[in-house]
Amino acid sequence: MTLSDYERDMEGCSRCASCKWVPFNQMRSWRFAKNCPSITRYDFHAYSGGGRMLMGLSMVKGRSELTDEVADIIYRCQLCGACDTACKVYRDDIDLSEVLLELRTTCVEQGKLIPEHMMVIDSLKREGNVLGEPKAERGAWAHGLPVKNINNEKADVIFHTGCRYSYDRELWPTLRGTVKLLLSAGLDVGIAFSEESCCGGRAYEMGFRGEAQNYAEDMLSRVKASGAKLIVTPCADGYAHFRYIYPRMGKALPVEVMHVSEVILHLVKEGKLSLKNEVPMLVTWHDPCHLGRMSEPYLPEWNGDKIMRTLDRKRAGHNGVYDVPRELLKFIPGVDLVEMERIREWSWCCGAGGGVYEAYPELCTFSALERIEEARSTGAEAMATSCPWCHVAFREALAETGDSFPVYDILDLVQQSVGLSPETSEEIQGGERK
Amino acid sequence: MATVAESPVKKRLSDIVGSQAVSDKPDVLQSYAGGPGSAPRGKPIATVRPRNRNEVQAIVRLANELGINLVPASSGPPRFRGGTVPCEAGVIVDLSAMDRIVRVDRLNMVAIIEPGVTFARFKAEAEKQQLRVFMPLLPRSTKSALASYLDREPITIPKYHWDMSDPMLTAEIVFGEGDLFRTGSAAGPGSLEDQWKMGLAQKNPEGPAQTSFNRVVQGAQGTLGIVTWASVKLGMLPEIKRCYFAQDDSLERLVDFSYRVHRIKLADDFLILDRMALASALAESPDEIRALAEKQAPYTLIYCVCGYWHFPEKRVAYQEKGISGIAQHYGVRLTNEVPGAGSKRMSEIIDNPSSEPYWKLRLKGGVREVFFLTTMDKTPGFIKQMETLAEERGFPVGDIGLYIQPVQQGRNCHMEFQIYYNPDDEPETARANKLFKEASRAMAGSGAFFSRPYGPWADIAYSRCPDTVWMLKEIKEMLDPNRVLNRGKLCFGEEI
Amino acid sequence: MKQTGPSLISPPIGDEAYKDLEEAVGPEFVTREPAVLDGYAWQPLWNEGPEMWVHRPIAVVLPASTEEVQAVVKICNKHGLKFKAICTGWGALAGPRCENVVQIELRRMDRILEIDEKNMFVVVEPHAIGGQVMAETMRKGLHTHIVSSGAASSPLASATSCVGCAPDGTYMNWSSRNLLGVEWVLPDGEVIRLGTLGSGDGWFCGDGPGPSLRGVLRGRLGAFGGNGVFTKCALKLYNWPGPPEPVPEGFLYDTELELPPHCKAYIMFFPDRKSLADATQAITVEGIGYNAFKPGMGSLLTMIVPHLLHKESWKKAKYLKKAIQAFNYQFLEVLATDSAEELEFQEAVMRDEVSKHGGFMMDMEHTGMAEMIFWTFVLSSNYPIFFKAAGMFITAYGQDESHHSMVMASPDGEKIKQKWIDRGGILDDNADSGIHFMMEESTVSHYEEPIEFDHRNPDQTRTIKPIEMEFTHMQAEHCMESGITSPVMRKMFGPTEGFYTKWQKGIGKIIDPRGCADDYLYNAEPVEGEPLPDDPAILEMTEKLADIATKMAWTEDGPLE
Repeated sequence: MTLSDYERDMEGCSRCASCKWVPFNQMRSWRFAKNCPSITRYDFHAYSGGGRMLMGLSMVKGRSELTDEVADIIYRCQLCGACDTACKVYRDDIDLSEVLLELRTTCVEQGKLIPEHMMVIDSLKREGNVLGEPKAERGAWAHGLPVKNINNEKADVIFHTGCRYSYDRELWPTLRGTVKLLLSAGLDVGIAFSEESCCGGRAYEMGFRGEAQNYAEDMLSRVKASGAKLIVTPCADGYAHFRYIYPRMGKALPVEVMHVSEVILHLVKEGKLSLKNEVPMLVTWHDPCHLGRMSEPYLPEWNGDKIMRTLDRKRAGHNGVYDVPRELLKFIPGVDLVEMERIREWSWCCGAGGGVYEAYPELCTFSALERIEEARSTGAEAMATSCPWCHVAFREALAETGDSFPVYDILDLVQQSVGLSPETSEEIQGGERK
Repeated sequence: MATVAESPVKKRLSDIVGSQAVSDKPDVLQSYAGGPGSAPRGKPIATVRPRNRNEVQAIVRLANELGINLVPASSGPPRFRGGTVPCEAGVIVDLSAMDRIVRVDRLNMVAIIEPGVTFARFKAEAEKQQLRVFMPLLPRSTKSALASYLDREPITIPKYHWDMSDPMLTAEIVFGEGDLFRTGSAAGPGSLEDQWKMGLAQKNPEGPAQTSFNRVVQGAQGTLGIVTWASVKLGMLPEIKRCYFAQDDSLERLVDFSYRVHRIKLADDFLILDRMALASALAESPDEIRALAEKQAPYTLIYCVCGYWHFPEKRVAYQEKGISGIAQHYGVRLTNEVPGAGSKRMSEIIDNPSSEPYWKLRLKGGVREVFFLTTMDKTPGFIKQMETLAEERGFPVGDIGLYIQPVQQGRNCHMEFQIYYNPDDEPETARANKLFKEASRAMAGSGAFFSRPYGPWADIAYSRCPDTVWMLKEIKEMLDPNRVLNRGKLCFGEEI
Repeated sequence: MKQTGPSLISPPIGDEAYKDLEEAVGPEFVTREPAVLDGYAWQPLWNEGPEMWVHRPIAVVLPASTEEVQAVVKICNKHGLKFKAICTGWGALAGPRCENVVQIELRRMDRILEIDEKNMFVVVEPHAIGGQVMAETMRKGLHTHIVSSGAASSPLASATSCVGCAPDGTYMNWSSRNLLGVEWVLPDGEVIRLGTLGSGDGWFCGDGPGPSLRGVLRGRLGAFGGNGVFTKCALKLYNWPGPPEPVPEGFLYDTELELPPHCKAYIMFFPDRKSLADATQAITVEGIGYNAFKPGMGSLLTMIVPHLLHKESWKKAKYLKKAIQAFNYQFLEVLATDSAEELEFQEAVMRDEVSKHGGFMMDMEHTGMAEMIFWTFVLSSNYPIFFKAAGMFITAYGQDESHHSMVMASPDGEKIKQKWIDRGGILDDNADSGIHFMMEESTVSHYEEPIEFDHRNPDQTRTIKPIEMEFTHMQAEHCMESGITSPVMRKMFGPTEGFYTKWQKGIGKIIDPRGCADDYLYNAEPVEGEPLPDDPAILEMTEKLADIATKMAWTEDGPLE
């Protein structure tokens, strides 16, 4: 598909502005009524979902050129999908998120690249991850854990760690504890250690389809070779990409893909994990875009006029993962959940997605701080989430402003309730040396 | 400016309306010069009584030709506010002969009236069709209904006062050079008859297109156009109407009660009077008024609940229950009577024009009114201000009446102080005038909005809004370039 | 889709003017990037068609305050540029309609400045949208009229500059009537504040002292940006008896939240148009209806079974169509009352009128749809659904007047629609989608005929103009002012309405001496010598319109009596 293939979607825009707001039934205050970090930060219509489509339309119609400024606007977007779900409350014939992806690809095809994204792509090419870290150290986090190496052992479950968890040492205790839980529940878990690569989703979002394709093929061949029946990932980005972008590229994985929170909930329900310890905390839940609306599975392109598209072929964000983490929180004794205004399909983005974290830290920080303010407004003591990129966005935004507000991965809360003490960095490093 | 005697004005006017309809007799002219609010700088030189719109147009065109100042008048005397007193010598265009009730439309609850229609006549005609005329409180028997509506005089039923322009809807206007215009949906396409055939009823006050000149001529005191008819909203004549009272020492309590009742749209007529104003409405002689006033609480809230054409009992019942709950919440005691009036009598009083003598003149024969718009919560502050001023100026506080009329469904209110005085007592008149002037100025400084700026209020009101004045002058220049319409009134004098 | 002609793209803004704009609002809040500008030029809604672009602005600015708006307007005056404000941007009415327009996007002015709970008004800036205002006022037990563009629209824009009514009008009036104090930047850059605000007395009244300038500010229609920029205003609020923070589950058809106490949704059906008119007038005049309106069966079909209407089988389903049409004389009542007794009274009145007129009524709770109907109307979250079935719609509407006149006009509207459905120009919604609702109890009633089409289909877009012209003709026959305004229409029909353009232009000259506002939709004259589109339907209608306008034109003495 190309941008021109979405001309009818772009022309479909009635300029009703629904894409800029949380769905109107859900609008609860003046303060938290907006759904899109980009238009909220920059205000010109072009920064909204609809406005981006109209830039695309303008170019497809030959009325304007793809300039550096236009490319810059295209890139200042987390691709969080909030505009798409808001639009689809009313429309069946516009796939806004798809247009946004095509705009990225158009930029890359026309050479409108930005250095920060190029660094990511270079890193991917060199080291197989988006963080510029050495490929050889990808599995370092797992040293000492009794997990299989799927490169030379068969395992029922492939645990795909993702770039951020693999290299962000602050997240390692969470990660290692989670794997311990899976193992303790009897799962046959294997990882690819240094052979694991980025899922490629970030490259896809940045517009580098070829790169993404390569990583999808790499993943596909690894999965096929492993004989595994299930992929489990703690990385919400990876989860969304496996479920949506891979099939979109024609590289659907041949096995079931689950987010780790889904697996944990399953284990808790089966009684294989016991959440017994009190974790007294009033917590609010941040729905990561990639776990929520963006993880909705891919649906094949509708052939013909989308006006006639049936609802079961419309991807409107409803089939993202929303209830699983909430249910899981309910299982943790002592945890009380208080909701923010912007949740589920209309959740506010942390700011990190779509290459914004890498290229536009100021926009990322703006978005994250807005979310923290919303979390605080609920009276919650802490915010829980389940995406390493969200976690980092919040952590860094808070650090940048000298502010503090506890942000937990839901996996941390689960581990606390199970009674698993988080490993110290010394312990982890000890394990690493082993 | 030529006078009638030395110019062909009288003849030219007579050519238009006939000699019987033109007069320059001093006693006739004097009847337009009434009102303590008038500080006449000019005198009427003649009166002319057109009978239809064509004659009005011709008079206006003649005024342009001869440079005559035209002062429109519709109501009969007594006059209070100097609205018909020329600032410069001028011809009174007395519209009282244009007194047709053109149409009363029951289905659409709307009527078209000419300027000479008084409330009494209008009401009688409307009631034949079970319709209710929205009236100000106790208008004088000679009061033109159209003039009252044009002046944005408050009606007693805030619930049906959706907008400041209510109950006036559309109008036919003769602008300053004689151009005819119609506002709102009456503008066209089509004549009134054409529109009626299509079921239209001159009900939409907005327009035509992107202007609403009905709003522009409202409050203009005849300075921007002469209205020859207007369509006005009517209500359903109640099948049941019950009047209730709440007397209280605390205005604040009544104000809180008022806010809640209005929010839920529970009452029909709704107003507050102080003891003097209430007694003046109920009794006729000064002694009776004073005696009755003594018996009243400081403030009396009067309200009515009504049931109309469907299940009137049910409507009245839920409204009574609702109001009773609110009263209980705020500690307001509701009654069926007050000294001097029960429910039925009060209802009759406020449903009709004032009997003679006019209620505001009953105590002492003269009244200076200080009225303005404010919000209900600010009314106690203005009362304190008036009492302080009166005491400082040696004017008996007991000779000042108070009338508070919520408008725009309770969003704000017309607040009116009635300074009663004996016009034959010069020092007292002077004291009343002094208090009137000082109170007006002081209250404007405290946020009183003189939205209907008669006489000296024009200076007070317009000195506070220079931008509005600029635009009004430009509008005047457009609609009345030769300044033939009520020259010098509002902000259209030289001094502002 | 037809490519845009170069006439709709102005030469670029000069560097000096652009620099001035940058200085006025900050460089990050001005743009002249063509693709960005086109985001303001794509305006398919309310476009006269067949072109879906309007003029591309030469720059877009984002002022943050009244002072910055003034500065921008003054710069336009200085450099001989036009300007036009845009708020939420619902439709071509908000877009530039001539060359050299600086678009003033008011998005940064979005505050709710005050909610006066006692005196029942809210003070808003332009980009506080209806949904936000509702959310905040409902917390205080108050509600505000939202025009039928829905929660995304700007209450300020609706009240000051556009035309606006909705099914909530019975209880909450219509936009222009809800206006109190206003702050208005005139086209020369000066500010005027109306009513109490101009005298420093607060926001509570928009009229006076003396003549009310609200009548200069707007009429039945607003000036659509042709008379300046409105930067703040106070709007009336009304009682809201429901919960302070209603949060339904779901977005639209999936809406779920219990009805509040003393609240209901009913639908009534009547045997014919006359009984519909009589009964609904009688009901609403009693003040019944938090939302009250006559929906069109066609409109319901477009929402519920949009696909069906595109199918060949639907076109041939003669008896199904007739069966559906039999339910067209319907009326929806959303009741929100303060007590069980009040609710009982309202239900009794409705039952009585329904029974008198041989109709029947259904408590929507028995259908399982009550919650959805109630909340989507109360929250005004339903309106963009009109885009669903075909992609785009226009609505034909004229003067708002007596209820019976509106209902009487609707058969003629349906005939026009059916004709164009038969020609294949618009979506076949059974042609019975006319809607009515009342304002101020039933002081005035509204008639609107939605016409759904696919604006991406040239065969359909080219029908829109002739359809609009036919409706205008029909409205003139019914003595109704047209709902649309354009230079040609004003010139043609001004004489049928007392030559109003003379006075309206007079106002324009006062407030805009240098002609800086984009006044295409307000006072601009038609372009001389512009050829008529080569479309027989348009040519035929042009002639017919000219003919009826001539017949109904006023003479110097007034209308032909």
